[in-house]
Amino acid sequence: MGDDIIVSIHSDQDMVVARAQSRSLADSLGFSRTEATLIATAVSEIARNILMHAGRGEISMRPLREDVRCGLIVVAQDSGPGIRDVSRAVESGFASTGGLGLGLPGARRLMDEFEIESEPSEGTTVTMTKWRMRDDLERIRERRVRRVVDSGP
Amino acid sequence: MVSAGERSLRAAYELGRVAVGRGLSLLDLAEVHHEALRSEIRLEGVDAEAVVRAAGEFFLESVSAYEMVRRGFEEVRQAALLQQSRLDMLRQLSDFLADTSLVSDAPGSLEEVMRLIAEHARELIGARLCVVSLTDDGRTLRASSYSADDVDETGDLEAAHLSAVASLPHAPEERMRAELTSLDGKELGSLELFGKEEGFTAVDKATLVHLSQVASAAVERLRLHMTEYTPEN
Repeated sequence: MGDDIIVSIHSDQDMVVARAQSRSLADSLGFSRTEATLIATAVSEIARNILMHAGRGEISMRPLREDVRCGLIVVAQDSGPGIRDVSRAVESGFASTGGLGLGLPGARRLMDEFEIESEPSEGTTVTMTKWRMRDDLERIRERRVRRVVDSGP
Repeated sequence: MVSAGERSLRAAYELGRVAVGRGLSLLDLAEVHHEALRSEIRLEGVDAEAVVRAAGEFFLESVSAYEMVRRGFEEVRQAALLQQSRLDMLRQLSDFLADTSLVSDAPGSLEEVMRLIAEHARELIGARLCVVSLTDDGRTLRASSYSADDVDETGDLEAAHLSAVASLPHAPEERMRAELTSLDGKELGSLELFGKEEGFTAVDKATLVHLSQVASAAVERLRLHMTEYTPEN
């Protein structure tokens, strides 16, 4: 958990910080500029959701590293009023998104995995992940670096 | 546009969001962006390369809201296609039920029902060939339906059937089979489908199971009807 980046969301300014952190983490994990933009957009949407419905909350993000893929997991938590109908909240046409497919439905579509846990009056947790497949060359390079580190000075 | 950094990118994202909310087209946004870029570059002492780079990032950010909407549209389109295919399936099932209920106890009725089963199953699932086999008094009756590509107008259908079956790959994903069974569990025969260009899907398999149940009921009802109304009775 040492890699966790945590951003408190209290104001519009915090949204800028969360976006910058997600973009920087995406860059460090090798996501393309376009993918990093989509991740920053999804983070903006969930940050906006916190500000709009709960007033304050927290967004944490962390890198995920597996053999064939790497990714970025984002968890947004708030203690707001919660969502009464979670499945409706991630569909287009939900009242607070104006039916345009922005907001939570938009964030869901930009990411690979998306999950909401919410209880009325107990707040909401949104967990979303974006993956990137690693190519063979990248994995060979990493193994080489690991071998050098393991063999020591 | 030229003030680099996340604050400016966030402004671009908000701009795109507002544009989507106001129903502006992507073309409008591109036009405005182009005008802004042109006026920036005309300013004296401007580093044109830096401006173009920043403008590219700004534009990418501003169209990200459109990407959300585009993906939403694609999702809705897929849902509509699925809905349409379900409607087609219901319509065809209803036609099939209507057709089989019209078949009387006239000689050849069983063969007619089998032909209807084969035709409807093949059309509904989009297979190249459908073969319906029934066991009747120790004999095996068979009816087939072919896609238009396989039928030779002047040829022998039995030969066409054998050649079509022989030429079809029998890999599991390229053939499907369901048993036809009576209400008391006796085997009546089988319903087999071969060759679908894009391979059979889980929905196709579910449709075949449903069809085989409807077909079994139709065959059983017809046999009962024929037994009830034979001259000996």
